[in-house]
Amino acid sequence: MSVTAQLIANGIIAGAIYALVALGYTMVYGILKFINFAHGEVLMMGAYFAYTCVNYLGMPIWLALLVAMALSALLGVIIERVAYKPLRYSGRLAPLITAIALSIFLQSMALIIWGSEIRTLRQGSVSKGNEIFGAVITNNQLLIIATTVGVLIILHLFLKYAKLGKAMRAATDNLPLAATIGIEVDKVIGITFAIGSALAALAGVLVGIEQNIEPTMGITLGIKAFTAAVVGGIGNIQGAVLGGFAVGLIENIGIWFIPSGYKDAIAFLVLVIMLIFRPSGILGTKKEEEMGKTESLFG
Amino acid sequence: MAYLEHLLVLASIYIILSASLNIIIGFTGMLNLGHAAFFGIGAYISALLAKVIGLSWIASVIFGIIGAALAGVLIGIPCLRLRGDYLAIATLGFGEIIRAVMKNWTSVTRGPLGIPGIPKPELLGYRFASVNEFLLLSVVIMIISVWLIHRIIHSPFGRVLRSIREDEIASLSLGKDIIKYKLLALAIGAGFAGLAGSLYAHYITFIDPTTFTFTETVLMVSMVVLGGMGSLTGSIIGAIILTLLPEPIRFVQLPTNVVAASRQIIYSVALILLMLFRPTGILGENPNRKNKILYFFKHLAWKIGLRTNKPEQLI
Amino acid sequence: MKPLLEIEHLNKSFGGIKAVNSCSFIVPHGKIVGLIGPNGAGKTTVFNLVTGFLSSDSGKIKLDGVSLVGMSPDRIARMGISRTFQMIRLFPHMTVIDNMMLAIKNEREGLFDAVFRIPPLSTEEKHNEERCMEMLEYVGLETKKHEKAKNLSYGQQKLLEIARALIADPEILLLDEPAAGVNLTMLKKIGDLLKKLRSQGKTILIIEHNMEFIMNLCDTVVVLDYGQEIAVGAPHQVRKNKKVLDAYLGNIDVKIVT
Repeated sequence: MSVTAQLIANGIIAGAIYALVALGYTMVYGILKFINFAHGEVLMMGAYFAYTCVNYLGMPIWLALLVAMALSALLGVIIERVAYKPLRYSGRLAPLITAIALSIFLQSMALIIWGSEIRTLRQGSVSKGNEIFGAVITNNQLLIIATTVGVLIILHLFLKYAKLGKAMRAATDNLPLAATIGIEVDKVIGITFAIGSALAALAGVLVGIEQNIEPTMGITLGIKAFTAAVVGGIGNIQGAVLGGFAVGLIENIGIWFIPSGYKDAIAFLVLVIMLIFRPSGILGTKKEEEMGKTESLFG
Repeated sequence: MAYLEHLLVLASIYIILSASLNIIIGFTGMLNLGHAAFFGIGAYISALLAKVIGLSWIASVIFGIIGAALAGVLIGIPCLRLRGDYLAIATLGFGEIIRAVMKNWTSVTRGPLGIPGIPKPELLGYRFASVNEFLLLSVVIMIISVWLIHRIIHSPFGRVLRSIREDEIASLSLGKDIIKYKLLALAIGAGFAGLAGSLYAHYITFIDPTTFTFTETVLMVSMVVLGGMGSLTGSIIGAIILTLLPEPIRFVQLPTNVVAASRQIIYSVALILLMLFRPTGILGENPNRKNKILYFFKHLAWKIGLRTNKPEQLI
Repeated sequence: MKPLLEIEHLNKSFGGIKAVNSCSFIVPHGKIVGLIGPNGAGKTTVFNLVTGFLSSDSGKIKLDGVSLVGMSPDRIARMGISRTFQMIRLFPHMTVIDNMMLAIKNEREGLFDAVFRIPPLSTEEKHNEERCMEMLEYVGLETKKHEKAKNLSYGQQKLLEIARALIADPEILLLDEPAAGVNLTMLKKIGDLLKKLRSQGKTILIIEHNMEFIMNLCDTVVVLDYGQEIAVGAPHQVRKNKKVLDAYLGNIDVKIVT
């Protein structure tokens, strides 16, 4: 087994997860121009939903996953309706603070309900793994990559061909215009939150299968995925996927050069550097570049 | 009574923290989500200088303030081009990077083990060892800090800060060097947070990275928002309320981690309700303070049904 | 005598579109110059280039012979250029008097003065406030002193923005559509104010769509089309210029309101 190949493989696996989560940030940002800070906590809740289904209700993992995705979608929609919608027109600060408060709230709820013990959805012992291009990859990890790729294809087709998907893209392009041509904006926003949250739950479950579940998992994963969204160009769907894999790779190759304790800090560093030097991201347009900097002058 | 005194020491520290954060968020309009990092830098520098180098308390505190203020400027230089929520995320990122350093630079900070045995403050041969002695010290420092912040805010300098919050472009068009002012606002806010951190370190006598998390920043933001952005009195009220509010939970028989979580739930729910129903906080920026406090409680009473008629809205 | 403001072959493109295309004109001392042209002709872009909010691709901008190219907006403002904005930019949650106090030249806005106040700030603040009040009386807003700027009527906000630009005692005043959206009484008030300023020797560059207003007020009119000056001259000359008539589809006497 080669170290380089292994690091790249680890980067791709982590990147797949980040990509799934980044999609949620980017879709919501695309339409509402707002960072859904509580997105990472929806992921965490999704993982716990699945954990509960498997361990207390005895469901098979695939059914638990579907239930968790459905519940998280519902949670996302409720969050949007209760906490964000009333603040849609009250500046940028109020929804951001609400979102931060929500994420703290969900984290604390999880801590009370499920405790601070580290849980996992891993079943049986860690399988030995297959050697692919010199890297050892377990079946679970292959599952992560396969699921992510599958979901991304479905999402792509949905956005491209489904009526609702087209409406979502229209709303992303120009929300007021979309409203005037008869797109039900509230419905589209609801669907966006539902899809984003379901994807987050999927990511949460995959993390639970591969690693651990704990109440604080949403923060770090959320920030990394947000970084991925920014790296790819926030608001841009393909960018989120690209950014996800980019962050995963940078982080996993980065620990080759710096102490592993700083692994989580790498993503933050990438985020800060991106925000400062190219807030529009890799695939962002000039228009989006203005958004990160001082308010566009006379718009 | 020692317990109440302990709470009052904490309240003093949090008053300095929320007032200093209000300079940055409420008066200058920069959403800083890394305030706990400045708090931590002050605490670490002061603790290390006093304990390892053996510097006097006052010298350690001064270096703690300077260190935090410098960190504020260093973080500010690259981040100030960013606006609103991007600035928020970038400062959050910086906060976490600084915490990663606290956790991993073990040769200096001892990492997760923390720094125990930080000496109690000593001034002119007098040692502030007991809680009530420390209470006196922290209240005096808090009052001086608030007075200084008040002086800074209510001056032509403070007026420029507010103009930046209101409209950066208009402020530029009037010839204000907004980058300089923003950096100064960050340095002042961070410096006072550093002072609070140093007070905290010498009071608790033990610090570790878990004290300076993002949750701590959220607590400070909640205090500012609850009191009202751009209101110094509001910050003081917000800090006192949120320091004392979760305390009754302590007397209910619950496991410790549930207590901590319940506290977070109280903060977060308070914050969400505040944003939904009164985003300006208890006191927005308004000279008419007394009436505003009165109106807040009247309005609250009306909202929860203790009052039948809606109180008259103040302009 | 040298002109106060000189613009020479100024260029600015946005993603391939030339917003300002080799534009040149001058603003002499003590005159009111009107900058007119169809929508999208690049008038506001010229303002933003002069005031440093946008950086030009090439060309010269000189104030009293000193090049402004590459200077930051705040520095240009301190050089003596005051401006107003097409979309009013006041400090909405601050009082009228605070809006004014921010514009007046004040050497004591530093941190040191805030903390130490040696000598005390109060005498200077009082003096500045008196001057601001004089200006507010001049534009008829003295009774609104403690009102928040956002609570003023649209016309009053326009006046306040002009008053705020004036209190800085600029070399030149740049006004971006001061007459847009204000009623006739207010329009006359603004026109009278500008004439009064000219009689005091002030220099003004003004963007405006209200032709009657411009023709009555300006000494010189510069007509922009596609980012380039197509005519420069006294109002009655420009009025007859063939290119100008074409640019406006021959409708120059019709008031164009946007």
